[in-house]
Amino acid sequence: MPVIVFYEYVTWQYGQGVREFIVAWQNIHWFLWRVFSISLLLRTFFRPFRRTSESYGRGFDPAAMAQIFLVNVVTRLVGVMVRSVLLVSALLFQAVVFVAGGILFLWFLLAPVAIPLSILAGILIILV
Amino acid sequence: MEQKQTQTPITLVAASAGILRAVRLEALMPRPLRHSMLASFFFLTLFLFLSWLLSLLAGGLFFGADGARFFHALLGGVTLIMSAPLWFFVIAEFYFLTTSRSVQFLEAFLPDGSRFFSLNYGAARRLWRLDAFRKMEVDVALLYRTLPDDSFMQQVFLRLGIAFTDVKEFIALKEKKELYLTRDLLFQTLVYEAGEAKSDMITAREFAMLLFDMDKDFEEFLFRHEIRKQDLRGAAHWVSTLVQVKQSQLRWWERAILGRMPTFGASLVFGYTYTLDKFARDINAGSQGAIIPEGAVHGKELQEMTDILARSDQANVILVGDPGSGKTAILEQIARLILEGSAPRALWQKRLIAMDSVALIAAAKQKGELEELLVKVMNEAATAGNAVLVLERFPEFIESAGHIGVNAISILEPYLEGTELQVVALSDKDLYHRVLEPNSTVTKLFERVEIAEPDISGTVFVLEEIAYDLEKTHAVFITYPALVSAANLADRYITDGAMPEKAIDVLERAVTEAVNAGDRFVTKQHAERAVEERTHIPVEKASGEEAKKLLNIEEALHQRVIGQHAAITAVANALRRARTGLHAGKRPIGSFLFLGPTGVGKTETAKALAQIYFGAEDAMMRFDMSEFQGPEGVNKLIGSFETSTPGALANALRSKPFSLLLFDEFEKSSQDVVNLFLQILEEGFFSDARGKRVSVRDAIIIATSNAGSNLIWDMVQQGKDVVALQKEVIDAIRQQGMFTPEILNRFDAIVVFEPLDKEKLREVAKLLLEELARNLKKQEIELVITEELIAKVVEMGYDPVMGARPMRRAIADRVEQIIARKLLEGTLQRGGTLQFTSEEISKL
Repeated sequence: MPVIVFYEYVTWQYGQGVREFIVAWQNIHWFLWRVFSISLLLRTFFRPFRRTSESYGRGFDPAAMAQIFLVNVVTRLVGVMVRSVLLVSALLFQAVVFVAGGILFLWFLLAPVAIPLSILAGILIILV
Repeated sequence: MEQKQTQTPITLVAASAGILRAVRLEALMPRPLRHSMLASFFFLTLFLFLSWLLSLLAGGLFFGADGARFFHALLGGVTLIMSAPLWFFVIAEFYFLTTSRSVQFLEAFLPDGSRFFSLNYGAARRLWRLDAFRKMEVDVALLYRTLPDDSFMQQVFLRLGIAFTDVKEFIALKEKKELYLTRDLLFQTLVYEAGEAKSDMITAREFAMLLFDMDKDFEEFLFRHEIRKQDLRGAAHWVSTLVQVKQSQLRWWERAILGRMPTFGASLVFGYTYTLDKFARDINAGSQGAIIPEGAVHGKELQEMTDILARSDQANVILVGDPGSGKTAILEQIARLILEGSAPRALWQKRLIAMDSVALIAAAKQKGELEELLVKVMNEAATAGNAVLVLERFPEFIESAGHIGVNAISILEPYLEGTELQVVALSDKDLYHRVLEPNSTVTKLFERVEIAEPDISGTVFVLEEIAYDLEKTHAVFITYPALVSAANLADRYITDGAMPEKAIDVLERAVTEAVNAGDRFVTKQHAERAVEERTHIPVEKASGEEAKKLLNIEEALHQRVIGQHAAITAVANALRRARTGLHAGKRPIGSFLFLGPTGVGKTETAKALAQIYFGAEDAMMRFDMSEFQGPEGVNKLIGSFETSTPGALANALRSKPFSLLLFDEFEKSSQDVVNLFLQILEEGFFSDARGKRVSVRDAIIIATSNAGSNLIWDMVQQGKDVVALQKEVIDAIRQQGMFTPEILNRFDAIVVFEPLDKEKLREVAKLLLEELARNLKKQEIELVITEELIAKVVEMGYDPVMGARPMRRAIADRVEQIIARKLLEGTLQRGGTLQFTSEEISKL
């Protein structure tokens, strides 16, 4: 039985196992994308912060209109800034997951060799 | 199991399923071993790595010494060596979790078309143990041999309330027995059982059912523990679901799990709701849904709600259901669907905000203030862009607003007609019909979704979810029969409230019962006791003293009622039927019409029954039907809607559902009252003035009437026997039109009380004198009852028309008078004995 299990494991490792790893890696990226609502933040990038814009109302009053225009520009700028902070954070997290995932993937691929090698390397370090 | 159901043709889709890789790994390295090794190597490696890091930091100080350098190298080397098995076990776990997913296994050609069935890990493991992938004939008795290590079956037995010591004894008996099946029959049975559980997945549950279907010994073993097939299926399903929920959570990287995490970026896009938040709370995703199969409880309502809320305009729902029917649970399910991303796109990123609309009125004291506040919160909700506003207690809000002159509907109307906001209003049924339905604007703007109460099986699923939380809170273990019992008893005995809330209440009370009694297992008996305490209706089967009392109830009744064997037998039989569970119908425990002249023991029979069985004469509720004549008669019994006066009968039954109801002079009831009784006697319930159901199922109804008294007398004078008397009297009163055939047919029995002859009156006199003697005994005076005295009392009290009634008066007027006089004169004192002399008796 141990032989069968080892054989099945090895065939899995370089077939379905790789696919599983990549899917898991993708899912974590998808999760970060979703948690930070990246699509929504990009789609609404220039919208006012938390819908705090003012309405121009009726009538023609250039001073009031200019004031409201200014307020709306400011609130949009605040919105852009806050969204940018969040987007940058999301990007950072994505980058960390991408790099860490890559290292782990490499380690995963090399596992059948890396596991005995690390034992060997450990012994060598102690002895040398 | 029927033969035809097992002959379903099947084809294996995957002859050697990939899931077997996980099974083989498990056989080689069981999960407990893997987990303990993984944890051990993780902490060991972490410790070594930190030590190595520490030695690296301290290196600058001590690396001059050879010993220190060697120590550092040793730590590094050992860390590397230890990291190898850690990595090995991490990959082994990943391997196991990815290969142990359910796989499509076989195709069954059922009468309604072909259907694919999947195989989960638990089932694959069992098939592998049986060697069913290779052999064409398998010994399913092998499953018994693996039972001691089978955590699934152990949990099933625990859920069924069967001690594992009993299971071990049973397994020992099966040790060397074989039970061979062909592989086809094995798969066909598994498919059949999966179909019975309305599932396309073959799990460990189906193997438990397989043993039940194929092994009579197992069936008998469960029968001895009062477990039926549906209990086994229910418990196995519950355990199987719990195992699958835990298993799926281990694959944390899958989108189904990751998707449940809340998002936070979206909050920047939507507006603030400062004022609204003061009167509102967010409805969060409920736990419901993890255990309840999809659509099993409120599935239709949930679908209707999401369809309406996903519309582009007028996406407003009014959710109508009695308190406790699950309005909040449905909203929590919608919140869960939104969170998981499975709700329609129109609900994406939406917040369900429950506004306490009555609190809004409390905050605004005047008309203008309320209007301003209402406009403000509605504006906030509309401009926020992600609000689904839930208006709690909506009819009360409309009414209260109306009282201070605010037409809330007209303020809400523009928002409800618009596209910016979705509104869910909550209402109970009564108020919906009374307050909202007559308002055409409400019916135009809102689409009504009525909540149907879940059936018993649906309620049991809800209880399974509730039990999961209760077990964590109270550190108890709830058995499956306790859940089933809670659902059935709540449905049968609790008339207030709606399912599933009333079943949840019973379960919570059962848990409290168990905790108070120091029991760790919550069983069916705890649920029964909980219902008994709440309703005062005996639910548990009669045993011990009560059983003895029921067996000898005629004897006890005859100690108070002289003669009238037919009446006493009828009442005693009804009570015995009810307490042994044979009274399964919806009608009252027993309903009797006692006919006969006055003073023959009709009321006394009812009183004696109340005293002997129900514990006190107070348990008998007496209604003199002459007080319920005329058009107001029914209102006095069930209550009046106009005056909000509660009904005497409704109140009596609500406070004591398990009781004896005596309706004296029933012939004097108005036609409306008789019509009410037609329903009570047939359906076992009536609706009070507010439309609430009042159950009469646990009451004994005795109606008395003097109708036909003259006829009875004439017949007795003619010397007719009792049996002929019964039939002729009933025929006569039917012909006279005193009672309609409909009402006479509704009673379980119509009992004619025969007039008391002199011999029976003698016995009555003796009983009455014994009662007097008991009263005198309290004053420590002995009354000697002689035959002469009895004969005198009979002589004084004998009245063929009035029955035994004048006799009581005769004792009070004559015998008690003399005793009172003697006490005052001092000729009879405490500790003395009174025996009437012949002279005294003659002067009475």
